[in-house]
Amino acid sequence: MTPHRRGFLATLALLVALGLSGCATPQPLEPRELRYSAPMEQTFSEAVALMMEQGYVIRHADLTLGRAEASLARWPGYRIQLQVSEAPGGSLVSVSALRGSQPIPPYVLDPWLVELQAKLGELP
Amino acid sequence: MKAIPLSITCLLALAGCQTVPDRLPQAEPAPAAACYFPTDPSGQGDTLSVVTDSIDVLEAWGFALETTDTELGLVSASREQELIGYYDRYDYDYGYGSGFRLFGGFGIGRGVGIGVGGSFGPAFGQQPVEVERVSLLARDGHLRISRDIRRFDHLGELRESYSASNDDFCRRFQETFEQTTSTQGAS
Repeated sequence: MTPHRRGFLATLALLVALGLSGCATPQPLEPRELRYSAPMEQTFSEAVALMMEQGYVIRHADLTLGRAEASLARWPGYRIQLQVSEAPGGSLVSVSALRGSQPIPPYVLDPWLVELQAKLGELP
Repeated sequence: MKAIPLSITCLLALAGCQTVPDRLPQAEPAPAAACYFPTDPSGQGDTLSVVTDSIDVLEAWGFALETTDTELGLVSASREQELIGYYDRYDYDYGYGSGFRLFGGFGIGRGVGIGVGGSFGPAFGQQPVEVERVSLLARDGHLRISRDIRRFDHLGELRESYSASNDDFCRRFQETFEQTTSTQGAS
């Protein structure tokens, strides 16, 4: 084996190791937020209904707290955490999701927030 | 060139890590149409009576309540049942359900040796279980149902999980629910 080939293989192995370590690093759970002009109670109840419509089973929900947790039984298991709070002139929805034990990147949640907007009749 | 198959293997391994969906997944197939039905044709809009009636139905079916929110009109419940003789159809070479295994071997080298070993596998009482979870939402004179089923093996490991908001369950629920309300209305 030439030194050149050996060097190439070593670099390749190093790259693979780096790439794999990227998979294993736990990322923090990042919520995505959007403001709605509907009152908090209406937004919350519409959000819970939307999750159920998509087949999620609600594990916990409390209107007073504005918190809900739902899960979807598709491999490897998905979980949504929802927090709706009062905001000046409407409500603020903060949503985060897990796929198995890995957090889902926040941009993936955008279509869901837009769908909630459509449900509330607030699409621009 | 040995590097090409090697790099292909690495690419495949890495591809497994990178499967992030582009949007939040939904149940496939989507919940059946029967999982959303009107509850009060008269239009009185009493969420509380819908919630209590559905709790009656769920409890009669052996569900245990997990969480409720009467203000929201939400009920979440689950029931467990032991699966007798369950085996995973994707992994059936492991002998599920049999508690005792025997193995052994013998060798002839310089002399003869025979060895036999036994092992008691999972103890009794650790049956595989099926957990069924249901959530109901009474809202705007309608009731919405979502449901899933998960199966755990005798080691408590998740084997199967799927969304089960199907036509059969929702239709049966709707029928029983309507019977409950009509008998209560008559009395």
